[in-house]
Amino acid sequence: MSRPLYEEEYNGLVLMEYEEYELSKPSFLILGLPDTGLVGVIGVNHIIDVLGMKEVAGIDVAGMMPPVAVISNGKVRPPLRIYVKDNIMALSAEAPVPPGTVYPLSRIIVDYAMKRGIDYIVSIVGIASPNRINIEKPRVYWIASNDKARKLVDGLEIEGFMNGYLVGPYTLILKNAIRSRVPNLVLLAEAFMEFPDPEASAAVLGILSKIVGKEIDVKKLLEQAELIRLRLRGLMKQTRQTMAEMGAPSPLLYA
Amino acid sequence: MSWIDEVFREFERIRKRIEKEIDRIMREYTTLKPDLTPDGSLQPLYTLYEYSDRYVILVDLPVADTSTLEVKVVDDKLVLEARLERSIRLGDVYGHTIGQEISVSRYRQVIPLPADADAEKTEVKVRPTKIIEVIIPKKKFA
Repeated sequence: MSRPLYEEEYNGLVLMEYEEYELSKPSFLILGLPDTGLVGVIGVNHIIDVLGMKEVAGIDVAGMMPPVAVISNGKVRPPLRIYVKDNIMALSAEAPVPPGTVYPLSRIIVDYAMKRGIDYIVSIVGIASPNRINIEKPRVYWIASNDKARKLVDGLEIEGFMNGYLVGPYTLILKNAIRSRVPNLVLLAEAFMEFPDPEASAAVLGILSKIVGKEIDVKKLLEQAELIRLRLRGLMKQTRQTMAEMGAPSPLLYA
Repeated sequence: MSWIDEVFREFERIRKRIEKEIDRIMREYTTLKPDLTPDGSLQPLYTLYEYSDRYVILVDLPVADTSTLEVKVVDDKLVLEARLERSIRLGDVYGHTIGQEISVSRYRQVIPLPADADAEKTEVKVRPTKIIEVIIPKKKFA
C-alpha cells in the first residue's frame, strides 16, 4: 500500500487510488466478493489473471477487527483491490466483508462507480443449490436493477431469477444501485453453498464474456479447479462463518 | 415445598440443560479449528444436510487420490481419510513465506454424527469431481 494519489473516507472505509487511469466505453465494474461457493472471488481473480489487469486502487477497512493486514511481495495491501484494463474494472476481495461493513461498502462501491462514470456494475454471485452435486453444468440466472441493466441479457439464453432470496453483500449493492439509478446486473450461478466452486464461476464467465464483449478463456480455470478448491478452503471457512453471523439462511432451508 | 416450587425447579433444570446444549453447539460451530492437524494432515471442508429419512454429508477432497479413501465409523463419529495424489507444499499453494517448506500428503476429518444416524448402514459415493457423498439413514423408531 503506497501512499495514494487520491483518497476518500466513508464511514470507516478508505478508498485509495494509486494511479491515474481511464476506462473505455461501455465500462463495466465486475464485483467478486466472497459469498456462496466463492463464485465471485474465483471468477474475478480469473478475469484479472487472463486479461492481465492492473491494480490501480483499493478499499481498506480503517478500523478492521480482527486487525489483519495482507502482505504481498513485501507490501501491505488492502483487503479489497481494484484492477482495470480497457473497459473493465474488477474488484476482488481477499477476506469476507465483516457484517458491520456491508452497508458502507455498498455505498462506497456504488458512489465510486458513479464518480468514475461506470456504465454497468455486474455482480457475480453463487446461489446455494441443494442438488448441486448432481448438476454437471451449473445454470446461471440474472437479476437487473433497471431496464438498462436488463438489456445486457437480451438474446442470451439465461433465465431471470424470479422468486427467491438474495443474501449477503450483493443485496445492499443492488438496492443502492436501484436508488442511485446505476444499472446493476446480478449474475447468479448454482453453486455449492459451502465449497469453493470453480465450475460455477466458469459458467458465469461464459455469459459475462458475451456481455462485456471480451473473450475470457476458462480452460485454465477448469484445469486448475482442484488446486483452487484446495487453496480457498480457508477463505471459504471464514466466509461461511461471516455469513452465519449475518444470519444468512442455512442450506437446510433449501433442502 | 409446594408444587409451584417443584414446577419452577423443573423449569430451571430444563433451562440449564438448554443453555448447556446451546453452548456446546456454539463451540462446535464457532471455533475455527486449525486446518492442519498436528500429524500434518489437512482437514477437508464438509457439509451435513438433514433430510426426513437420512443425513447426507458432502466432503470436498480436491487433489485427493480417491482410491485411497477410507471411511470408518468410530463410536458416534465418522472418520474419513484419504491420501493426496501428490505431496503438496503449502508454500506453492498459498504463496506464504513462513512454513513454505511444510508439505501435506493426506486428508483426515472427524465428523460427529447426530444421535439418530444409523451409522451401520452408511453408504459412500465417490464423485468424479472428488466430492464424496456419505449417506446415512436415520434410525427408525417403531
